[in-house]
Amino acid sequence: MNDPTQILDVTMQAGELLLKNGAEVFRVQQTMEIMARAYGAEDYHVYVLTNGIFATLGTQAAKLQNVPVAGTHLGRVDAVNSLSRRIAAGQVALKEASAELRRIEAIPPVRMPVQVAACGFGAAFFALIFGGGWADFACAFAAGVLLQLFLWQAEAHNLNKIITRLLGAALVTAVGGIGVALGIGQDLDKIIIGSIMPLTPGIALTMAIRDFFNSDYLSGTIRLMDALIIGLSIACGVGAVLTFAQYGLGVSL
Amino acid sequence: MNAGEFFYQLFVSFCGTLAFAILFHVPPRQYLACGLTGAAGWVVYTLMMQAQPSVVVASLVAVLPLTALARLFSTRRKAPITLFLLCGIFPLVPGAGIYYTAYYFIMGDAAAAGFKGAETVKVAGALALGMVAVLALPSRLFQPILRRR
Repeated sequence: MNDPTQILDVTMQAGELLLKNGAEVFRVQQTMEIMARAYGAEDYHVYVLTNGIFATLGTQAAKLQNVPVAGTHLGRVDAVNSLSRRIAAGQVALKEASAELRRIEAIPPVRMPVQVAACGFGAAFFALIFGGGWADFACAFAAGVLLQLFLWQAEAHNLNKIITRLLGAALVTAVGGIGVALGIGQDLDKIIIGSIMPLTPGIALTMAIRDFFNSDYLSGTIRLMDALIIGLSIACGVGAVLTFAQYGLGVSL
Repeated sequence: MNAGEFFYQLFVSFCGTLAFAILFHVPPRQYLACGLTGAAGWVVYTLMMQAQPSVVVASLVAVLPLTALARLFSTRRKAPITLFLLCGIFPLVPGAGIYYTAYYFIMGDAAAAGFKGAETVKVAGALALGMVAVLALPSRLFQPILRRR
């Protein structure tokens, strides 16, 4: 028989990894239950929220973990998923699982230059998707590259998330505005919506409603509020720069 | 829509989705599948917008084949469906809608904010509904397709 505290620790470790890196609430819950059952835990209960996990095993052990809403790393989600398949098949001992999870947690993010390029191209291609031309592609690419560099610095300095989004949106608007003023870009609106795509909470909003449809009302509400606040901070960033350009510099973009 | 425009839409949505798959740190072996999922959804969406110009209906119709494709990839490639779904849905999610709503709101244009806000919520609702519907289908419906390939 495995030690209850250890089972709780390992399942919690897996749940935290999944939740932090972008897995859905009910999937986190499911995975933790499957793992606990595979290790012979009886009377295991877990409750997962968007930003926290509560788990108990019988009357002997309970654990509570705060999981702040963070970035998405689907590579780690994938790795935990395949580990949980192996655990369910009885191929991984409890001790090994813990080491394996620590290894998954250490999976590095994509290298910085690649991330910068991806953000640039993501912004640029979304400018095209929304109907912009190749001139807007170039401006959005520049804005996306600078945005990722800014986000990297902001994260390194532990800048508040709302302020980060606000300044990021202001940055891409300024870059797009300069591009249009110099005659490189054509349609500022397309450049802006393309290059704020990495910041927008579209997925958060959609997943919030999906949580509602799964009756996870509390988790859905947390995500919904997150989406609203982020949306507002982005709009403030864009609005501030456009208003400044109009009244401060006298250019209407 | 002529063939050139069709392939243009396919290309830009594939590349856009791929870029975000990289930003979400998807394992490289799944890049292609993520890009294809996103392109499939977006192409259906643009075709729908030409037949019936309603973003909500188009989003609902587009998310059905997208989620089905994500399920197929998930089973065949033994990876969580989240990978394909989260990346693939990126071109369809109303990120721009949230931004426009908030922008009109802070700029004091309440009518435009209300209109955009309602549309944004409806699009997100349509996407979530379509997703939940396809995910609720029994997995044996997908078996024949899997076996044939």
